[in-house]
Amino acid sequence: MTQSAISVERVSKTYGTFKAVDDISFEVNQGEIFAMLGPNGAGKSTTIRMILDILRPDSGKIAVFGEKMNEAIKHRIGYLPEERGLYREVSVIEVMVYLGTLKGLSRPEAKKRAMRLLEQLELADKAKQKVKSFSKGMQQKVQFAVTIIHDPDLIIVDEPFSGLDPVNTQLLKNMVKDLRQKGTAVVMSSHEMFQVEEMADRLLMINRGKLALYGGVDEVRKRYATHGIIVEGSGDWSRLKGVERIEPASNSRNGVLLHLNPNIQTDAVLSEIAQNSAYHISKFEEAVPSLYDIFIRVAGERPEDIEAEYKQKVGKNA
Amino acid sequence: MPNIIKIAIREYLYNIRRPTFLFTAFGTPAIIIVTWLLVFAAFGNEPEREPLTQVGMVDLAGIINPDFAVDGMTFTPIPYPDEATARQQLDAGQIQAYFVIPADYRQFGNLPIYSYADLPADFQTNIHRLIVANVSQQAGVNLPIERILNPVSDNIVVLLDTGRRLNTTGFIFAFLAPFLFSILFWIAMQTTGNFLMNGLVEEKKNRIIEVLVTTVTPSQLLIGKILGLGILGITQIVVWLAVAFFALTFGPQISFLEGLKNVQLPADLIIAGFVFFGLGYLFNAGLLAMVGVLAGSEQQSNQYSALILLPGYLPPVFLIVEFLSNSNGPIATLLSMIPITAPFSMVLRISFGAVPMEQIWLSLGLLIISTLIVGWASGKIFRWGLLLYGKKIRLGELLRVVASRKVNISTSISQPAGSEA
Repeated sequence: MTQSAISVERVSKTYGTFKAVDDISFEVNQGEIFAMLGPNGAGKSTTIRMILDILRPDSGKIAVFGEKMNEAIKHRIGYLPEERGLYREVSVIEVMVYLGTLKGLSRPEAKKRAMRLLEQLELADKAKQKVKSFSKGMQQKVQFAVTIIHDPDLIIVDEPFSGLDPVNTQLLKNMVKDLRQKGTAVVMSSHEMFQVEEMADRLLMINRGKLALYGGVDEVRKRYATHGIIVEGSGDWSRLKGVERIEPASNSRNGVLLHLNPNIQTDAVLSEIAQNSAYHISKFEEAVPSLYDIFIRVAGERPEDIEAEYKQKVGKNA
Repeated sequence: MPNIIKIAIREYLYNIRRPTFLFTAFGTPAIIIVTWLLVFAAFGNEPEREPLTQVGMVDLAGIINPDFAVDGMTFTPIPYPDEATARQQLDAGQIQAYFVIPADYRQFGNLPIYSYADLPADFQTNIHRLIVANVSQQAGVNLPIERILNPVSDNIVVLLDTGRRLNTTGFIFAFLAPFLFSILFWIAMQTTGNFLMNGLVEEKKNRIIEVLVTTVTPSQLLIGKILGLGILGITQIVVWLAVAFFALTFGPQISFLEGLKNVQLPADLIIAGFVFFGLGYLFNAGLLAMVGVLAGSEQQSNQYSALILLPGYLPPVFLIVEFLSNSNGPIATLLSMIPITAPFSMVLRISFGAVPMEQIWLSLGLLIISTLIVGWASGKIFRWGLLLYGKKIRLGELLRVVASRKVNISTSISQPAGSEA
């Protein structure tokens, strides 16, 4: 088995009396997309910063590619912080080349790669423009390019899609998937769980500094899957054979979630609906919970409520 | 290539292209040179006026001996017995002008000159010369006319310990040159120090700093910046010294800048300038880097930078008379010992007079020690404050950071109330 890209072992970090990260352990494998999920203030950024050696954990051990953070390892990592920016008064290509050389590339090599990335991002014709002339979305794409310019073996991107329009989000998602294809380990944090659930291989959910859930995305979803189906259509669903109770489906507009009797197969319910003229369906799917739903079940509270509470606390501090 | 060098090169190349820098470093001297060249061209092309050769003289006081030839005159006066004859000759075009030494000349010193055209500038000098020469010859003074007219042509003070020679003539140039010299060093130090500070403010404001510190260490970042901008400051001074050299070489050829020939830019003064202002730059750079990482905005940082920079500059400038009249007096000596005011004060003292060697060493020692202390403390604050945002910083907290043995980066974003690093 290959060595893990990141190994975090029982790490804790306290700010004054506030426990930002509380005894968290996990591993990130090479060549996988690893999602770090949780509401704002859950401890995602603090964990990332500890992995990158910006912050020191109070206790616990962190290894990247099996080693304690050092200069050589730093060059194998690309990092896109949540709070990000670029030099504004210089040309896009110049910023990229400078940051590329700091990551160990020669100037000509950095320039070549920067141009190639800008082409991928459809910004090549604007390479010589000043950064400040770029829109926020364009700047974010450049920052992503800077993150991967030195072909890192591990990239850590904190809220990579926040503020991006759907087209550019998809563009970056495709680039991330390409990186995984090449064997790069990708750590992606997000408070918007739907953004990463379709592409992540494994996930870590953090709530209030504590590990809430950890494992493969499919496996986690299966683990939390209800024995049920989601249907859209007409008919008295509660009287259908094998249905124990019904509720509105959370991630569907007109859908109804039918909780089934453990002894009945979903196929049997479908054939029952088909045979009974009292029912009509326009949509029928297995009830796989979204990560959002799973979070609520695991944490016992809604992410947005936690965020609101956190915002209020931080607001007082400022 | 080490990260420090990469950062230094980036800082140098970025800032050297900035309009602010280009203007202070190259624009100002360029304007001065161009102005001088224009003046030079204008004065150089003006045709010299022919001196008068036919001049009449009516000596009613009996002062001038017509047979005594005075050296260096453009004309030999033609004596006439009375004004009417002289006037007749002038009207007839035989002479270009005539002057009258009235009978009561000894009492009043009046000396009217008559002419139809205006007179060249050296005409009066000639008459002055004629009278002085005649009077002293009659008094039996045995000195060349040049010495009588100008008894002391130059007065040089030779400082025996450094071998420097200080002129007392051309005073205004002799006074201005060291003062301007110090000011230029000061400006270079201040410009680059402010670039350092504002660069950090910008990197924090643009949030690029977090990417930087995951790529290089905070000390590499700080040292690289100080190095790159220090070389930028040296570039600025080298340009100015080249301009000064140009001015001192060609300036004296322009008549009204003749005084420049009394100005020296001795090597020891230039070395002292580089050493003292170089250390002063490092001293201030440490303080300004601290302000840069802690200040929230450029406006705020500029206020603090004034607090840091002005105390080094204002006392010596306000007390400039002390330096001039008594450069080894207690006030000048004290100011040149205090590390904050030392660069400006010591360079002024060295340029105005002889400073005892042991004082120079003492001042240097104090400056080096305090620069090391500032550098050590600012390194800690720098690391601590790199990722701090929107936090009110108390002095006590800073002192605690400085006093702590190991300082880690502290963050304020994503931290709720009551938390501290």
